[in-house]
Amino acid sequence: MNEILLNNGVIVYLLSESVLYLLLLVACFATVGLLRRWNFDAFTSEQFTLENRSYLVMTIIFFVMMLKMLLLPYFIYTIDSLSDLIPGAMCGAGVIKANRYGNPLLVVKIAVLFLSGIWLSLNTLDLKARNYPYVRLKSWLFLFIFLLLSMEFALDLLYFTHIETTNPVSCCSVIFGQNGGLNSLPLGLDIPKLLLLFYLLFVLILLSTLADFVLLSLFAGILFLVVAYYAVVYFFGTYIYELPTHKCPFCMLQDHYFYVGYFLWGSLLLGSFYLLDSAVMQYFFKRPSGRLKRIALLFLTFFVLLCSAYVGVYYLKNGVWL
Amino acid sequence: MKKIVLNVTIFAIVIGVILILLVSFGSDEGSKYVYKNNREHKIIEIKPGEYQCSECNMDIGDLDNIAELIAENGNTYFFDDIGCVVLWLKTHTPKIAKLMTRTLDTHQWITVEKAWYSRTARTPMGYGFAPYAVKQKGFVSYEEMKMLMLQGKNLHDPFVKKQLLSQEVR
Repeated sequence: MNEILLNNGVIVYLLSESVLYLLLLVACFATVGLLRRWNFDAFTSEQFTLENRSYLVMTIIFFVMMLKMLLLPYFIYTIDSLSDLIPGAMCGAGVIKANRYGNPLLVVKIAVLFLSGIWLSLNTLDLKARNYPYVRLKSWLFLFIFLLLSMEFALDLLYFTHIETTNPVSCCSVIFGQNGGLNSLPLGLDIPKLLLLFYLLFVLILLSTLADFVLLSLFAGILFLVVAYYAVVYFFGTYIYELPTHKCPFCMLQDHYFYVGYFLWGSLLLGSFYLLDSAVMQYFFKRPSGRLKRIALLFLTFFVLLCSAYVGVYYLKNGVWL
Repeated sequence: MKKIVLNVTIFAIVIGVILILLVSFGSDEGSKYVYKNNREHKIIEIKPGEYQCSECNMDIGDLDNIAELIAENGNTYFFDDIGCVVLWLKTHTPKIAKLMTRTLDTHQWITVEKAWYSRTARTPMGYGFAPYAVKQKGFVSYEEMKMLMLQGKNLHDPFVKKQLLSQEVR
Protein backbone atom coordinates (compact mmCIF):
# COMPACT_ATOMS: atom_id res chain seq x y z
CA MET A 1 0.00 0.00 0.00
CA ASN A 2 1.15 3.52 -0.75
CA GLU A 3 3.14 4.79 2.23
CA ILE A 4 1.48 8.19 1.96
CA LEU A 5 -1.94 6.68 2.66
CA LEU A 6 -0.67 5.39 6.01
CA ASN A 7 0.24 8.89 7.19
CA ASN A 8 -1.99 10.02 10.09
CA GLY A 9 -2.66 13.44 8.59
CA VAL A 10 -3.67 11.96 5.24
CA ILE A 11 -5.95 9.36 6.88
CA VAL A 12 -7.74 12.04 8.91
CA TYR A 13 -8.00 14.32 5.89
CA LEU A 14 -9.31 11.68 3.46
CA LEU A 15 -11.76 10.28 6.03
CA SER A 16 -13.13 13.76 6.76
CA GLU A 17 -13.42 14.51 3.05
CA SER A 18 -15.21 11.20 2.42
CA VAL A 19 -17.73 11.73 5.23
CA LEU A 20 -18.41 15.29 4.11
CA TYR A 21 -18.79 14.17 0.49
CA LEU A 22 -21.32 11.52 1.53
CA LEU A 23 -23.33 14.16 3.37
CA LEU A 24 -23.19 16.41 0.31
CA LEU A 25 -24.30 13.56 -1.93
CA VAL A 26 -27.43 13.13 0.22
CA ALA A 27 -27.95 16.89 0.11
CA CYS A 28 -27.51 16.85 -3.68
CA PHE A 29 -30.28 14.26 -4.23
CA ALA A 30 -32.57 16.17 -1.87
CA THR A 31 -31.81 19.44 -3.68
CA VAL A 32 -32.69 17.94 -7.08
CA GLY A 33 -36.05 16.80 -5.64
CA LEU A 34 -36.54 20.23 -4.14
CA LEU A 35 -35.87 21.98 -7.44
CA ARG A 36 -38.32 19.74 -9.29
CA ARG A 37 -41.29 20.22 -6.97
CA TRP A 38 -40.74 23.56 -5.22
CA ASN A 39 -43.65 26.00 -5.47
CA PHE A 40 -43.81 28.46 -2.64
CA ASP A 41 -47.30 29.67 -3.64
CA ALA A 42 -48.77 26.18 -3.31
CA PHE A 43 -50.67 25.57 -0.06
CA THR A 44 -50.13 21.82 0.01
CA SER A 45 -48.70 19.36 2.51
CA GLU A 46 -46.02 18.46 -0.07
CA GLN A 47 -44.83 22.07 -0.15
CA PHE A 48 -44.73 22.20 3.67
CA THR A 49 -42.68 18.99 3.70
CA LEU A 50 -40.37 20.49 1.07
CA GLU A 51 -39.93 23.67 3.13
CA ASN A 52 -38.97 21.60 6.17
CA ARG A 53 -36.68 19.44 4.07
CA SER A 54 -35.10 22.49 2.46
CA TYR A 55 -34.25 23.83 5.93
CA LEU A 56 -32.64 20.49 6.84
CA VAL A 57 -30.72 20.28 3.54
CA MET A 58 -29.49 23.86 3.79
CA THR A 59 -28.34 23.18 7.36
CA ILE A 60 -26.38 20.15 6.14
CA ILE A 61 -24.79 22.16 3.33
CA PHE A 62 -24.02 25.02 5.73
CA PHE A 63 -22.35 22.61 8.16
CA VAL A 64 -20.33 20.89 5.43
CA MET A 65 -19.19 24.13 3.84
CA MET A 66 -18.05 25.56 7.16
CA LEU A 67 -16.02 22.38 7.77
CA LYS A 68 -14.59 22.49 4.23
CA MET A 69 -13.28 25.96 4.98
CA LEU A 70 -11.48 24.62 8.02
CA LEU A 71 -10.16 21.68 6.00
CA LEU A 72 -8.26 23.90 3.54
CA PRO A 73 -5.60 25.03 6.06
CA TYR A 74 -5.51 21.43 7.36
CA PHE A 75 -4.88 20.18 3.80
CA ILE A 76 -2.01 22.67 3.44
CA TYR A 77 -0.64 21.56 6.82
CA THR A 78 -0.87 17.89 5.78
CA ILE A 79 0.98 18.29 2.48
CA ASP A 80 3.58 20.40 4.25
CA SER A 81 4.14 17.60 6.78
CA LEU A 82 4.48 15.06 3.91
CA SER A 83 7.69 16.81 2.82
CA ASP A 84 9.49 14.62 5.41
CA LEU A 85 8.43 11.47 3.51
CA ILE A 86 9.15 12.49 -0.07
CA PRO A 87 12.78 12.67 -1.19
CA GLY A 88 13.79 16.09 -2.45
CA ALA A 89 10.80 17.95 -0.99
CA MET A 90 11.70 20.63 1.55
CA CYS A 91 8.18 21.99 1.95
CA GLY A 92 4.67 21.75 0.47
CA ALA A 93 5.87 23.18 -2.88
CA GLY A 94 7.65 19.95 -3.76
CA VAL A 95 4.83 17.78 -2.41
CA ILE A 96 2.12 19.60 -4.37
CA LYS A 97 4.20 19.12 -7.53
CA ALA A 98 4.78 15.43 -6.77
CA ASN A 99 2.23 14.55 -9.45
CA ARG A 100 0.05 16.30 -12.01
CA TYR A 101 -3.04 16.36 -9.77
CA GLY A 102 -1.61 18.63 -7.02
CA ASN A 103 -1.88 22.04 -8.64
CA PRO A 104 -5.38 21.54 -10.15
CA LEU A 105 -6.52 20.28 -6.71
CA LEU A 106 -5.29 23.45 -5.01
CA VAL A 107 -6.97 25.66 -7.61
CA VAL A 108 -10.28 23.77 -7.32
CA LYS A 109 -10.11 24.00 -3.52
CA ILE A 110 -9.70 27.79 -3.61
CA ALA A 111 -12.50 28.13 -6.20
CA VAL A 112 -14.78 25.98 -4.00
CA LEU A 113 -13.88 28.11 -0.97
CA PHE A 114 -14.88 31.32 -2.73
CA LEU A 115 -18.11 29.86 -4.17
CA SER A 116 -19.04 28.27 -0.83
CA GLY A 117 -18.64 31.66 0.81
CA ILE A 118 -20.99 33.23 -1.74
CA TRP A 119 -23.46 30.38 -1.14
CA LEU A 120 -23.31 30.97 2.63
CA SER A 121 -24.07 34.69 2.15
CA LEU A 122 -26.94 33.84 -0.18
CA ASN A 123 -28.24 31.33 2.34
CA THR A 124 -28.18 33.95 5.10
CA LEU A 125 -30.16 36.33 2.87
CA ASP A 126 -32.66 33.60 2.06
CA LEU A 127 -33.18 32.60 5.68
CA LYS A 128 -33.69 36.22 6.74
CA ALA A 129 -36.57 36.62 4.27
CA ARG A 130 -39.89 34.98 5.02
CA ASN A 131 -40.74 33.63 1.57
CA TYR A 132 -37.52 31.80 0.66
CA PRO A 133 -36.85 34.10 -2.34
CA TYR A 134 -33.52 32.55 -3.27
CA VAL A 135 -34.20 28.83 -2.79
CA ARG A 136 -33.99 28.06 -6.51
CA LEU A 137 -30.93 30.22 -7.09
CA LYS A 138 -28.99 28.84 -4.14
CA SER A 139 -29.98 25.27 -5.06
CA TRP A 140 -28.61 25.71 -8.59
CA LEU A 141 -25.50 27.32 -7.13
CA PHE A 142 -25.14 24.38 -4.75
CA LEU A 143 -25.46 21.89 -7.62
CA PHE A 144 -22.71 23.74 -9.48
CA ILE A 145 -20.53 23.76 -6.34
CA PHE A 146 -21.31 20.05 -5.91
CA LEU A 147 -19.89 19.38 -9.39
CA LEU A 148 -16.69 21.15 -8.37
CA LEU A 149 -16.71 19.28 -5.04
CA SER A 150 -16.99 15.97 -6.88
CA MET A 151 -14.03 16.98 -9.02
CA GLU A 152 -12.17 18.00 -5.87
CA PHE A 153 -12.92 14.67 -4.15
CA ALA A 154 -11.74 12.71 -7.20
CA LEU A 155 -8.59 14.85 -7.40
CA ASP A 156 -8.03 14.32 -3.65
CA LEU A 157 -8.06 10.55 -4.12
CA LEU A 158 -5.97 10.64 -7.30
CA TYR A 159 -3.46 13.04 -5.76
CA PHE A 160 -2.81 11.13 -2.55
CA THR A 161 -2.78 7.70 -4.20
CA HIS A 162 -0.28 8.82 -6.85
CA ILE A 163 2.42 10.32 -4.64
CA GLU A 164 5.55 8.20 -4.97
CA THR A 165 7.90 8.05 -2.01
CA THR A 166 10.68 6.63 -4.16
CA ASN A 167 10.79 9.31 -6.88
CA PRO A 168 12.62 12.50 -5.91
CA VAL A 169 10.68 15.74 -6.46
CA SER A 170 11.94 19.27 -6.99
CA CYS A 171 12.42 21.51 -3.97
CA CYS A 172 11.02 25.04 -3.90
CA SER A 173 14.36 26.60 -4.90
CA VAL A 174 14.10 24.76 -8.23
CA ILE A 175 10.39 25.47 -8.73
CA PHE A 176 10.38 29.17 -7.82
CA GLY A 177 14.09 30.03 -7.79
CA GLN A 178 16.24 31.88 -10.27
CA ASN A 179 16.18 30.33 -13.73
CA GLY A 180 19.37 31.75 -15.20
CA GLY A 181 17.94 35.24 -15.60
CA LEU A 182 14.54 34.07 -16.83
CA ASN A 183 11.84 36.44 -15.62
CA SER A 184 9.37 34.44 -13.52
CA LEU A 185 6.95 37.35 -13.11
CA PRO A 186 3.90 37.60 -15.36
CA LEU A 187 3.13 40.33 -17.92
CA GLY A 188 6.81 41.25 -18.22
CA LEU A 189 6.78 42.90 -14.78
CA ASP A 190 9.96 43.45 -12.78
CA ILE A 191 10.18 43.79 -8.98
CA PRO A 192 9.94 47.64 -8.77
CA LYS A 193 6.91 47.70 -11.09
CA LEU A 194 5.36 44.75 -9.23
CA LEU A 195 5.68 46.58 -5.90
CA LEU A 196 4.35 49.83 -7.35
CA LEU A 197 1.38 47.89 -8.70
CA PHE A 198 0.93 46.11 -5.35
CA TYR A 199 0.63 49.34 -3.33
CA LEU A 200 -1.29 51.26 -6.02
CA LEU A 201 -3.89 48.50 -6.27
CA PHE A 202 -4.25 48.38 -2.48
CA VAL A 203 -4.89 52.15 -2.35
CA LEU A 204 -7.27 51.78 -5.30
CA ILE A 205 -9.25 49.11 -3.43
CA LEU A 206 -9.40 51.33 -0.32
CA LEU A 207 -10.54 54.43 -2.19
CA SER A 208 -12.94 52.73 -4.61
CA THR A 209 -14.58 50.87 -1.72
CA LEU A 210 -14.95 54.10 0.23
CA ALA A 211 -16.35 55.85 -2.87
CA ASP A 212 -18.72 52.90 -3.45
CA PHE A 213 -17.44 52.02 -6.93
CA VAL A 214 -18.40 48.36 -6.67
CA LEU A 215 -17.16 47.03 -10.01
CA LEU A 216 -13.91 48.98 -9.86
CA SER A 217 -13.09 47.69 -6.38
CA LEU A 218 -13.98 44.15 -7.49
CA PHE A 219 -11.73 44.38 -10.56
CA ALA A 220 -8.91 45.92 -8.48
CA GLY A 221 -9.40 43.14 -5.89
CA ILE A 222 -9.02 40.36 -8.46
CA LEU A 223 -5.91 42.00 -9.93
CA PHE A 224 -4.55 42.59 -6.42
CA LEU A 225 -4.95 38.88 -5.57
CA VAL A 226 -2.72 37.92 -8.51
CA VAL A 227 -0.18 40.72 -7.99
CA ALA A 228 -0.03 40.04 -4.22
CA TYR A 229 0.73 36.35 -4.82
CA TYR A 230 3.74 37.23 -6.97
CA ALA A 231 4.81 40.06 -4.65
CA VAL A 232 4.84 37.71 -1.64
CA VAL A 233 6.65 34.89 -3.45
CA TYR A 234 9.24 36.99 -5.27
CA PHE A 235 9.75 39.95 -2.92
CA PHE A 236 8.19 39.90 0.57
CA GLY A 237 8.97 36.21 1.03
CA THR A 238 12.70 36.89 0.73
CA TYR A 239 12.40 39.19 3.78
CA ILE A 240 10.43 36.57 5.70
CA TYR A 241 13.19 34.02 5.01
CA GLU A 242 15.89 36.71 5.27
CA LEU A 243 17.48 35.19 2.19
CA PRO A 244 17.36 36.88 -1.25
CA THR A 245 17.42 33.59 -3.16
CA HIS A 246 14.68 31.82 -1.18
CA LYS A 247 11.43 32.24 -3.10
CA CYS A 248 8.60 29.99 -2.00
CA PRO A 249 4.94 30.37 -1.01
CA PHE A 250 4.98 27.26 1.21
CA CYS A 251 8.08 27.44 3.45
CA MET A 252 6.55 30.36 5.35
CA LEU A 253 3.87 27.93 6.59
CA GLN A 254 6.48 26.11 8.66
CA ASP A 255 7.38 26.58 12.31
CA HIS A 256 10.80 28.15 11.50
CA TYR A 257 8.87 31.18 10.29
CA PHE A 258 6.29 31.07 13.10
CA TYR A 259 3.56 29.81 10.71
CA VAL A 260 3.26 33.35 9.35
CA GLY A 261 2.19 31.96 5.95
CA TYR A 262 -1.19 30.97 7.39
CA PHE A 263 -1.83 34.56 8.51
CA LEU A 264 -0.48 36.00 5.28
CA TRP A 265 -2.32 33.80 2.79
CA GLY A 266 -5.36 33.56 5.08
CA SER A 267 -5.75 37.34 5.31
CA LEU A 268 -5.22 37.76 1.54
CA LEU A 269 -7.79 35.09 0.65
CA LEU A 270 -10.32 36.25 3.25
CA GLY A 271 -9.89 39.91 2.26
CA SER A 272 -10.34 39.08 -1.43
CA PHE A 273 -13.32 36.87 -0.67
CA TYR A 274 -15.14 39.51 1.40
CA LEU A 275 -14.49 42.07 -1.34
CA LEU A 276 -16.04 39.72 -3.90
CA ASP A 277 -18.90 38.89 -1.54
CA SER A 278 -19.69 42.54 -0.82
CA ALA A 279 -19.67 43.30 -4.58
CA VAL A 280 -22.01 40.36 -5.35
CA MET A 281 -24.38 41.29 -2.52
CA GLN A 282 -24.50 44.95 -3.53
CA TYR A 283 -24.51 44.57 -7.31
CA PHE A 284 -26.80 41.55 -7.79
CA PHE A 285 -28.95 41.56 -4.65
CA LYS A 286 -28.99 45.29 -3.87
CA ARG A 287 -28.13 44.60 -0.23
CA PRO A 288 -26.16 47.00 1.94
CA SER A 289 -22.70 45.52 2.28
CA GLY A 290 -20.93 48.04 4.49
CA ARG A 291 -20.01 45.42 7.09
CA LEU A 292 -18.58 43.04 4.46
CA LYS A 293 -16.54 45.88 2.95
CA ARG A 294 -15.15 46.84 6.35
CA ILE A 295 -14.12 43.23 7.02
CA ALA A 296 -12.51 43.01 3.54
CA LEU A 297 -10.55 46.21 4.08
CA LEU A 298 -9.51 45.05 7.56
CA PHE A 299 -8.07 41.77 6.24
CA LEU A 300 -6.36 43.37 3.23
CA THR A 301 -4.86 46.17 5.37
CA PHE A 302 -3.58 43.56 7.82
CA PHE A 303 -2.06 41.64 4.89
CA VAL A 304 -0.32 44.69 3.41
CA LEU A 305 0.93 45.86 6.84
CA LEU A 306 2.25 42.39 7.69
CA CYS A 307 4.13 42.13 4.35
CA SER A 308 5.55 45.64 4.68
CA ALA A 309 6.49 45.10 8.34
CA TYR A 310 8.86 42.27 7.40
CA VAL A 311 10.69 44.55 4.98
CA GLY A 312 10.76 47.46 7.44
CA VAL A 313 11.94 45.36 10.40
CA TYR A 314 14.65 43.75 8.27
CA TYR A 315 15.91 47.17 7.20
CA LEU A 316 15.88 48.53 10.75
CA LYS A 317 17.78 45.49 12.04
CA ASN A 318 20.35 45.23 9.25
CA GLY A 319 20.49 48.67 7.65
CA VAL A 320 20.35 47.21 4.10
CA TRP A 321 17.74 45.95 1.65
CA LEU A 322 17.95 42.44 0.30
CA MET B 1 -15.18 68.96 -2.75
CA LYS B 2 -14.06 65.84 -0.87
CA LYS B 3 -15.84 63.64 -3.40
CA ILE B 4 -14.18 65.39 -6.33
CA VAL B 5 -10.73 64.89 -4.76
CA LEU B 6 -11.54 61.23 -4.10
CA ASN B 7 -12.73 60.66 -7.68
CA VAL B 8 -9.72 62.42 -9.19
CA THR B 9 -7.35 60.35 -7.01
CA ILE B 10 -9.09 57.11 -8.05
CA PHE B 11 -8.91 58.16 -11.70
CA ALA B 12 -5.19 58.95 -11.35
CA ILE B 13 -4.47 55.56 -9.72
CA VAL B 14 -6.42 53.69 -12.41
CA ILE B 15 -4.39 55.51 -15.09
CA GLY B 16 -1.20 54.68 -13.13
CA VAL B 17 -2.08 50.96 -12.97
CA ILE B 18 -2.92 50.86 -16.68
CA LEU B 19 0.34 52.66 -17.55
CA ILE B 20 2.46 50.25 -15.49
CA LEU B 21 0.78 47.28 -17.17
CA LEU B 22 1.25 48.79 -20.64
CA VAL B 23 4.92 49.61 -19.99
CA SER B 24 5.49 46.06 -18.71
CA PHE B 25 3.76 44.51 -21.71
CA GLY B 26 6.00 46.52 -24.01
CA SER B 27 9.24 45.47 -22.32
CA ASP B 28 11.58 42.79 -23.64
CA GLU B 29 11.22 40.58 -20.57
CA GLY B 30 10.28 37.03 -21.38
CA SER B 31 11.34 37.12 -25.01
CA LYS B 32 15.00 36.24 -24.61
CA TYR B 33 14.84 32.69 -25.93
CA VAL B 34 13.96 33.06 -29.54
CA TYR B 35 15.17 35.44 -32.23
CA LYS B 36 12.26 35.70 -34.63
CA ASN B 37 11.93 36.36 -38.36
CA ASN B 38 15.41 35.18 -39.33
CA ARG B 39 14.05 34.40 -42.79
CA GLU B 40 17.47 34.39 -44.43
CA HIS B 41 18.59 31.66 -42.00
CA LYS B 42 21.73 33.57 -41.05
CA ILE B 43 23.77 32.91 -37.92
CA ILE B 44 22.79 35.44 -35.25
CA GLU B 45 25.77 36.78 -33.36
CA ILE B 46 24.73 37.41 -29.76
CA LYS B 47 26.38 39.08 -26.76
CA PRO B 48 27.05 37.18 -23.52
CA GLY B 49 23.92 37.15 -21.32
CA GLU B 50 21.67 38.45 -24.11
CA TYR B 51 19.77 35.19 -24.66
CA GLN B 52 18.93 32.11 -22.60
CA CYS B 53 19.34 28.49 -23.50
CA SER B 54 16.02 27.08 -24.72
CA GLU B 55 16.60 23.81 -22.85
CA CYS B 56 18.18 24.65 -19.49
CA ASN B 57 17.12 28.32 -19.18
CA MET B 58 20.65 29.40 -18.27
CA ASP B 59 21.99 32.73 -19.50
CA ILE B 60 24.33 32.10 -22.42
CA GLY B 61 27.47 33.73 -21.06
CA ASP B 62 30.11 31.45 -22.57
CA LEU B 63 29.93 31.85 -26.36
CA ASP B 64 32.51 29.10 -27.05
CA ASN B 65 30.13 26.17 -26.76
CA ILE B 66 27.11 27.93 -28.24
CA ALA B 67 24.79 26.23 -30.73
CA GLU B 68 22.02 27.76 -32.82
CA LEU B 69 19.01 26.05 -34.28
CA ILE B 70 17.41 28.01 -37.10
CA ALA B 71 13.96 26.79 -37.98
CA GLU B 72 12.45 27.13 -41.45
CA ASN B 73 9.97 29.73 -40.17
CA GLY B 74 12.87 31.97 -39.12
CA ASN B 75 12.75 31.25 -35.38
CA THR B 76 16.30 30.96 -34.05
CA TYR B 77 16.89 29.06 -30.79
CA PHE B 78 20.08 29.35 -28.75
CA PHE B 79 21.79 26.68 -26.63
CA ASP B 80 24.71 27.03 -24.25
CA ASP B 81 25.81 23.39 -24.57
CA ILE B 82 25.50 20.89 -27.44
CA GLY B 83 24.02 18.41 -24.91
CA CYS B 84 21.11 20.84 -24.43
CA VAL B 85 20.41 20.69 -28.20
CA VAL B 86 20.05 16.90 -28.03
CA LEU B 87 17.76 17.07 -24.98
CA TRP B 88 15.65 19.85 -26.49
CA LEU B 89 15.15 17.91 -29.72
CA LYS B 90 13.74 15.01 -27.69
CA THR B 91 10.64 17.06 -26.96
CA HIS B 92 10.55 19.51 -29.89
CA THR B 93 10.28 18.78 -33.59
CA PRO B 94 10.81 22.02 -35.49
CA LYS B 95 11.49 22.01 -39.23
CA ILE B 96 15.22 22.62 -39.04
CA ALA B 97 16.81 24.83 -41.68
CA LYS B 98 20.23 24.94 -40.00
CA LEU B 99 21.73 23.49 -36.83
CA MET B 100 25.09 25.10 -36.24
CA THR B 101 27.69 25.15 -33.49
CA ARG B 102 30.85 27.15 -32.92
CA THR B 103 34.02 25.07 -32.68
CA LEU B 104 36.57 25.54 -29.94
CA ASP B 105 39.63 25.16 -32.17
CA THR B 106 38.76 27.34 -35.19
CA HIS B 107 36.07 29.53 -33.59
CA GLN B 108 34.04 29.16 -36.77
CA TRP B 109 30.41 28.14 -37.18
CA ILE B 110 29.93 24.70 -38.72
CA THR B 111 26.95 22.36 -38.96
CA VAL B 112 26.72 20.05 -35.96
CA GLU B 113 27.16 16.94 -38.15
CA LYS B 114 30.55 18.16 -39.40
CA ALA B 115 31.95 18.79 -35.92
CA TRP B 116 33.80 16.27 -33.72
CA TYR B 117 33.05 16.18 -30.05
CA SER B 118 35.45 15.83 -27.15
CA ARG B 119 33.93 13.84 -24.27
CA THR B 120 35.75 15.39 -21.33
CA ALA B 121 35.62 19.13 -21.92
CA ARG B 122 34.43 21.62 -19.29
CA THR B 123 31.16 22.74 -20.84
CA PRO B 124 28.49 25.07 -19.36
CA MET B 125 26.17 22.20 -18.43
CA GLY B 126 29.00 19.78 -17.64
CA TYR B 127 28.00 17.06 -20.12
CA GLY B 128 31.57 17.08 -21.45
CA PHE B 129 30.79 17.28 -25.18
CA ALA B 130 32.59 20.19 -26.85
CA PRO B 131 32.67 20.76 -30.63
CA TYR B 132 35.92 20.84 -32.62
CA ALA B 133 36.49 21.15 -36.37
CA VAL B 134 39.49 18.81 -36.41
CA LYS B 135 39.19 15.25 -35.17
CA GLN B 136 41.48 14.18 -32.33
CA LYS B 137 41.90 10.96 -30.38
CA GLY B 138 38.82 10.07 -28.36
CA PHE B 139 36.52 12.46 -30.21
CA VAL B 140 33.11 11.23 -31.36
CA SER B 141 30.81 12.17 -34.22
CA TYR B 142 27.51 14.03 -33.81
CA GLU B 143 25.46 10.84 -34.12
CA GLU B 144 27.59 9.07 -31.49
CA MET B 145 27.45 12.11 -29.22
CA LYS B 146 23.67 12.21 -29.61
CA MET B 147 23.38 8.54 -28.72
CA LEU B 148 25.65 8.90 -25.68
CA MET B 149 23.76 11.96 -24.52
CA LEU B 150 20.38 10.22 -24.83
CA GLN B 151 21.69 7.18 -22.96
CA GLY B 152 22.98 9.46 -20.20
CA LYS B 153 26.57 8.37 -20.87
CA ASN B 154 28.11 11.78 -20.27
CA LEU B 155 30.10 13.36 -17.46
CA HIS B 156 26.96 13.58 -15.30
CA ASP B 157 27.24 9.83 -14.84
CA PRO B 158 29.91 9.25 -12.16
CA PHE B 159 30.95 5.87 -13.63
CA VAL B 160 31.38 7.28 -17.13
CA LYS B 161 33.21 10.27 -15.68
CA LYS B 162 35.62 8.07 -13.74
CA GLN B 163 36.26 5.87 -16.77
CA LEU B 164 36.85 8.76 -19.19
CA LEU B 165 38.99 10.82 -16.85
CA SER B 166 41.13 7.83 -15.86
CA GLN B 167 41.75 7.11 -19.58
CA GLU B 168 42.84 10.72 -20.01
CA VAL B 169 45.35 10.46 -17.12
CA ARG B 170 46.90 7.31 -18.63
